[in-house]
Amino acid sequence: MQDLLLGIDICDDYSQISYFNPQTLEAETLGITEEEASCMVPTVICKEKGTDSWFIGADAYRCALYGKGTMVDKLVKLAGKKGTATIEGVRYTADELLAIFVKQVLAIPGERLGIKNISAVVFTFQKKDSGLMDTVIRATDELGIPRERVHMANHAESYLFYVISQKKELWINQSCLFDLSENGLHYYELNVIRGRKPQIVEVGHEELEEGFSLEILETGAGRKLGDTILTSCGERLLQRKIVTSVFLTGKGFEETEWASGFLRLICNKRRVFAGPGLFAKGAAYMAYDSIQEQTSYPYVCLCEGRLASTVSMQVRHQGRDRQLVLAQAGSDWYEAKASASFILDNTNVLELLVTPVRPGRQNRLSIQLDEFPARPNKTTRVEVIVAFLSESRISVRVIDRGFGEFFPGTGQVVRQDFQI
Amino acid sequence: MSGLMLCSDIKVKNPYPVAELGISLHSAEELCYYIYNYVFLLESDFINEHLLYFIGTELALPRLEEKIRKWIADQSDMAQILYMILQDIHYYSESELAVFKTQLEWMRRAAPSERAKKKADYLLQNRRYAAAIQMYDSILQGEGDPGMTREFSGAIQHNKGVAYAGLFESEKALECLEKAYESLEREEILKEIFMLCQLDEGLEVPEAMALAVPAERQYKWKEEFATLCKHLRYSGRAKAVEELWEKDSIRRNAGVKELLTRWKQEYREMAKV
Repeated sequence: MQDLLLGIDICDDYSQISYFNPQTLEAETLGITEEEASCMVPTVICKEKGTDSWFIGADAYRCALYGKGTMVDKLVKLAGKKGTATIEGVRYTADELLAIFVKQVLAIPGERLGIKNISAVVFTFQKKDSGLMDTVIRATDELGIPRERVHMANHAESYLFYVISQKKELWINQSCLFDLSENGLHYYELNVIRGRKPQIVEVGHEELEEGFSLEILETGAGRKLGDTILTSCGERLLQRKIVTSVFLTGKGFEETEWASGFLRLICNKRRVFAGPGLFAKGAAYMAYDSIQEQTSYPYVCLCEGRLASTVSMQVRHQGRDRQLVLAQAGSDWYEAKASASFILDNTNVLELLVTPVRPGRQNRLSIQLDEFPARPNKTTRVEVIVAFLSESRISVRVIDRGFGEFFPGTGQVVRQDFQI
Repeated sequence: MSGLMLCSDIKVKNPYPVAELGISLHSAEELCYYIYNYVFLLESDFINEHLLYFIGTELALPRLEEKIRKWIADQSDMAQILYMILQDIHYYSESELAVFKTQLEWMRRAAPSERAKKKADYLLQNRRYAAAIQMYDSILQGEGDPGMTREFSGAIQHNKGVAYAGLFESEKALECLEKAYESLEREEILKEIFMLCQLDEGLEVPEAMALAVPAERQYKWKEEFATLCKHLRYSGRAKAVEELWEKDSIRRNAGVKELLTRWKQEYREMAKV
């Protein structure tokens, strides 16, 4: 059996694990134990008193319930706030706790499936936060998982990959997703923009103001109210749209009997799928795709967390002019890094071209290099390093590398950040 | 033409040493730069196995290596091969290559003594004084060379004198400059002789030359020398030395030690043949 391809959804309330099954070529969810029917692992951690043992998920609840340990929940929010928790007199940072949680989660597929090696793992979050992602990277580093096998995604990206991994008839027009959890009610809409090559698949995301606490579903009146809220959202969001499929996910849709009115609305001439683990599954498909030499998804995928423009430079190579692409539209901003070296030929300005995928004006970003030492023409080599701080903010570093031993480089750096 | 030239990412493991410049080459662009700017330094054995290995393996340009081998087998001359290398790497534009071609043409037509002078001038320019003097001497030995005109030998004597002055061998410098003046009869050489004599108080301006220049002009030169000395005292290296004396004894001693080591190293380079 081949190495593991994992998708892990980490949310403040529940986390979910999925793996790509090479036999069925489909992503499947995984519970914490064989007995555990649900694949939703509460994002909580508990340290057993007097020992070094940590428990996560339902085990953590059990441990705390019987007074055997101290439990910490809302780990993602705590990490976002750079919070701490004191357990048995020891102060733990939220990062440390989350790292322990991630390590334990990563151990589950190995134990359940009997495969230790991880080929690729994609972590997905509601929103990509660099602090959160760094914590996860540190945890995977400590586990010895090579960095190039670890990727990050947000829910919009996971949903996009989940949907485009389904039969095309399900997303030939529009497809949408309602995600109902303690974190709110989120709506995602997938559109295919035709007439472009490669085809553009775009996901829009909106956190709906109508989100409600899942506690209200515990009473009959609350369930009715919840159904009414959802139905009105559905009417507003789906009107005059050709939606082929509707997906429902999140703890709120673990069972759907309470939302009969809403279901009646969305099931009208549409295929509807409800179930947990959609984001984790989407991440598992991404993990599978990350190890392929050539992507199985020949689309430009646009959504939150992905670049809406291509960043390139006009360069001369082998005596010919060409466009050097530094970051392709549709790439994950967190992973879209590039570097290249150039020799300045009668110029002291570096120019980057930002070309949007959607109709719009091409933008030029200029960086003046007057600070670098004056040298004869063509004897200044610069290293250009491009990275992104978000999907709309690019950071460009230019380093003076001189020209070999003829004109040694100073290592001087010019850095400029741009909104794109 | 202006813009950005994309460089290859290849990092050479073994850079190509250039003994004449005391440096090594790390990229195809640097190789082009060296050929273009220092073509007069290149000996007939420049295109050798070592260079071919550097091009084919270190720079990962096996096709170019192959092409050079083929041209060698076809008995192309070195100038043609050098031009082809520059063309193939695309570091220089067409117009720059045309200039290079003119230079190659000059080299092909120039007498051996002219080529040797160019090389010696380069050594002088780079403060390799002893090596330059040796080369000037070997050119002067070939007096029978048809290219050895009075003007040419005067220029060599002049440059040799400058090289001796660089080595603080004032008497020899004066002797060469006198010979240069005899051949070229240029006033700036007289000025150089005058300045040399100001620099080394043990020297005297030769009488004939002192008489050839009006006293008023000599006075102006003297003033110019004094201004220059003043300027040099408060700028550059002299200033750095002065600043050393303002430091505490530990830092001053360390600074002096470092400075002396550097000066010694520089002088050794100057005196190296």
